[in-house]
Amino acid sequence: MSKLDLLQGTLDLMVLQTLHTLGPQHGYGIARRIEQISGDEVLLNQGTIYASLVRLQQRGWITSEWGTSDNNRRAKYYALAAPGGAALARETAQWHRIAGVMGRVLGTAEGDGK
Amino acid sequence: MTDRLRETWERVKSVAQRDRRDADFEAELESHMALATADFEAQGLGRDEARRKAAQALGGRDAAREGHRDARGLPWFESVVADVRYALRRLVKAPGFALSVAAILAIGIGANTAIFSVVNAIVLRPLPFANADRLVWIAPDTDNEGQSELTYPVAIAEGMARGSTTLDGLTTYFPFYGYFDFVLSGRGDAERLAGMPVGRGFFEMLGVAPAKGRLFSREELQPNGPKAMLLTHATWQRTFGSDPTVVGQSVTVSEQPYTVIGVLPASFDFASTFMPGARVDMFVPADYELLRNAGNVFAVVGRLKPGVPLSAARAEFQSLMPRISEANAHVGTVTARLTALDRYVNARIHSSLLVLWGAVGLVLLIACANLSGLLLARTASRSKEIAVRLAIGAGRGRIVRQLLTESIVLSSIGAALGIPLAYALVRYVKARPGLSVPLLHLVEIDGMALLFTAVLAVASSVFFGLLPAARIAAGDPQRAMRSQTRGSTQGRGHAWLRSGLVVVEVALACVLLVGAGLMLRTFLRVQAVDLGFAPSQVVALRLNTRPGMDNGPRRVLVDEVTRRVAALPGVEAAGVSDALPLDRNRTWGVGAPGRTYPPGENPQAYVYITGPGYLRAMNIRLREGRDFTTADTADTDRVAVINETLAQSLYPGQTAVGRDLQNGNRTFRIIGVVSDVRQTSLENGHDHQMYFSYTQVRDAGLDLIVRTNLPAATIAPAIRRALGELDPSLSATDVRTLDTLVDRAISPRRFLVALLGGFSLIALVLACVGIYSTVAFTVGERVREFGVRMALGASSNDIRQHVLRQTLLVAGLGVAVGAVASFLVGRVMASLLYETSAADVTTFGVTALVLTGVAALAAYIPAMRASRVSPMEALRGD
Repeated sequence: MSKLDLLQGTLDLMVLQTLHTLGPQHGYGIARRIEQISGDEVLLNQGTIYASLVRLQQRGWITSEWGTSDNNRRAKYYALAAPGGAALARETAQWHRIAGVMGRVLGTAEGDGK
Repeated sequence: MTDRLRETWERVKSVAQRDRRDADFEAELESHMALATADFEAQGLGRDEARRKAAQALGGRDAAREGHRDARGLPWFESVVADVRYALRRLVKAPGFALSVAAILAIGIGANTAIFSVVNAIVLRPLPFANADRLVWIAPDTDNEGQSELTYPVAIAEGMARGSTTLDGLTTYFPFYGYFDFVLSGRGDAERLAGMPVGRGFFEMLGVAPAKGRLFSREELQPNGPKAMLLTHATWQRTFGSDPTVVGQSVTVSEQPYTVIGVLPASFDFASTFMPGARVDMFVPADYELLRNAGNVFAVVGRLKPGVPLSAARAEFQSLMPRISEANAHVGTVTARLTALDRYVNARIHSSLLVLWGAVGLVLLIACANLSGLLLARTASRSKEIAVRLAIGAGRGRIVRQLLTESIVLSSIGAALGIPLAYALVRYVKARPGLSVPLLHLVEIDGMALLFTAVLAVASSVFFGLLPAARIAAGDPQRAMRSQTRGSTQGRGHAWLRSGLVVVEVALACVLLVGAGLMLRTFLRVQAVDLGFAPSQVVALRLNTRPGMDNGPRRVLVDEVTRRVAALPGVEAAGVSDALPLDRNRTWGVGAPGRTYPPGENPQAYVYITGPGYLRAMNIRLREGRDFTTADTADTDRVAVINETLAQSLYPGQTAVGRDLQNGNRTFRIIGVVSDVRQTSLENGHDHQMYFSYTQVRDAGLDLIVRTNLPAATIAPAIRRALGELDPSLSATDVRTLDTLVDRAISPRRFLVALLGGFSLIALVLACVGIYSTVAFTVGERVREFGVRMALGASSNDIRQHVLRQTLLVAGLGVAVGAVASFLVGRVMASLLYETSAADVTTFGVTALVLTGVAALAAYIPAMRASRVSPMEALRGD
């Protein structure tokens, strides 16, 4: 099956949520987590995660630091910053609103059709 | 908002730290691979298999890098930078091409920047005064150019100031220089200071604040007030050695103590604005009472009330002037024409400058057409490369952008080289001595000019780059790849376009050449004008007699000066005059006794107060009667010499000699009639002119006129010595040759002709280069075709003639189009022409000949090359 085409900024929101849940994590970890949770429906390539990460970092929503992984490998760790937490709350609410509206509109449309 | 700002800043930062960020991301990708490989190994895969899986999951590394860069940086900017780099690399590979294009553009853009600076300073920028847009020039409604006919009596100026409700200020100055000249003595050699009397509020209204000291006080402006003077900055530097203590001091000029109350700023150049070519060293208050009964004395400048349009003031003066005339019946009817001051100041030069601006624009257009042709030829040889890029998926827009970037890079280099050129040109123009163009001192390459240059650079790059770029991007990649291979002839479309560009170039060059030709013919006509006097070998010196000297002794002294100077070795003739042709002037009313003239039509004549010897020294031809002699004294009959035009006008069809002329309430016996002399300009003839004797009429300061075969630098000391022996209080200053006066009068035309000539020469060279490169390219392209033709029996002469004929056909078409355009342009230029028709056959004929000749010359070398094609080699080639 084909992967989901993501709305602009949706991946950013997933990354934020992942960091919120997992705490500091490296790019590979975040990508894996999103793949697992989504059942491999998003992320065509793990590499695309990095565009999102650098964007969020430049926006000041997350921070990054080189560190060492559990099995002693060097990796760059990302962590949610305070503005990122606020943005996550805001964007999540926004997402719920959109999803609700879309659901209602599409549901109504279906109802009319019958 | 601050988030946006922060993000943009971060993006800029990451563009700047591009290499470091790339390395960091590279490390991150490596670490990602290591982590992923380890995971797959943990699932039990072999090392290689794990690594392959990890790479697959990561996806294309290049795509990841690209995505990372775009997300963190400024993708648009970076692609532009990449394009610029690419363009530079390509240009470095073709340095000859790049240099010639940059040089052509440097000339085109540099000339445009320079002329823009001139136009900007003189026409576009507001005058360097406060509220410049509210200042109006008020002068009698006449087309005459005599100073007396452009001025008002004191009472009229006062009437305007009192009566107008649309003006909130009105000031005056006294434009007849010579009357208020002062001799500064006691500081080395005697020096004449040309004084300019100005009315109340003159500097205040123009918003000119003194650099040192203060402006005239109310008391100093009163009749018989304390004697005060303001120095120009130049005088302060030159004569007073920039001595700051001179302000407040009393200085003796013409044996009268004057207080130097201030120094004007260097930026204020009165003469350059109001009287180009004149000399003003200092300002004194105009004494309204002294000048009240002296006839027309004041030039008038008014200031509109804020928000009042000029048309309102014009309407008001329509009704105001008759009322003022009524109240001042003794001066007759006075009229007023109101002009925006800046229009008045640049009126004479305005159309010349616009012509120059147009001309220099044409030069740039020709340069662009030229470069368009060059680029077209170059891109044609690149069509394969472009076709490949199109074939592998580059967008056409992207390729046009890349090609345009190349053009912009080229024209930026051209502009960068053009700016120093513009500086040099502006310096050259400003350094022309005796160029009487108003506001010339304000010409500079300022931010505005540089902005103009930048706009020009971009506009011209689009102009010359778009056509080749669009052409190539529109091409069919398959065809492009097929053509240029063996056995094909090049697409006709390109050849057609290139010919079109040559037509445009030739047509534009034709317009320029015709314009320059018309101006050159006008210039020659003006130079060949019969001035009515012979300026060469005539030197004029200002003769300063002791101030306050009684008239009787002064006349005796001047008489003796004339006699002694005439007797000096090397001197052919000597005389005196208080006005010189093409120099200062004034007019007085004149008439035949007993005749009455309708109001407002009283004839006016230029006045020269001279003495015996002047006519001979000037070589003014005596048509009838006699010159003044020493026997014409204060005690004998008042006598006058008049010119032919005045004689005609006073006594049409009769002999004027022996009859009388009336000036106010004075009557003069006409003793001689002389040829007309050009007074206000070289172009204007047939003015009324009359000569009186200094023994009988008060003069306005005399110039000693000497006809000599010695250079001015030799004769001046000899004259000074002779004067010193006669009377030590005498001095002779301001040595000028009459040639300089003629030069000054013709200088704006010479300036225009020289620049136009230069521009057309550039245009001609550019057109020549354009034709050459186009023909050479076409010939190169058709080598195979020529080979076939020759193999089929064409002689080399046939081929040569074929190429020449085709070129001449294209050039001829260009000339034809250009001739029509020139005819239209010539009509616009008509106001600048003198005794030359806008459809001057000679000019058009010579231009057509020159252009066809140049085209033939440019085509000759490629034609020769075409005719030497060896059929075998051409067919074997590739």
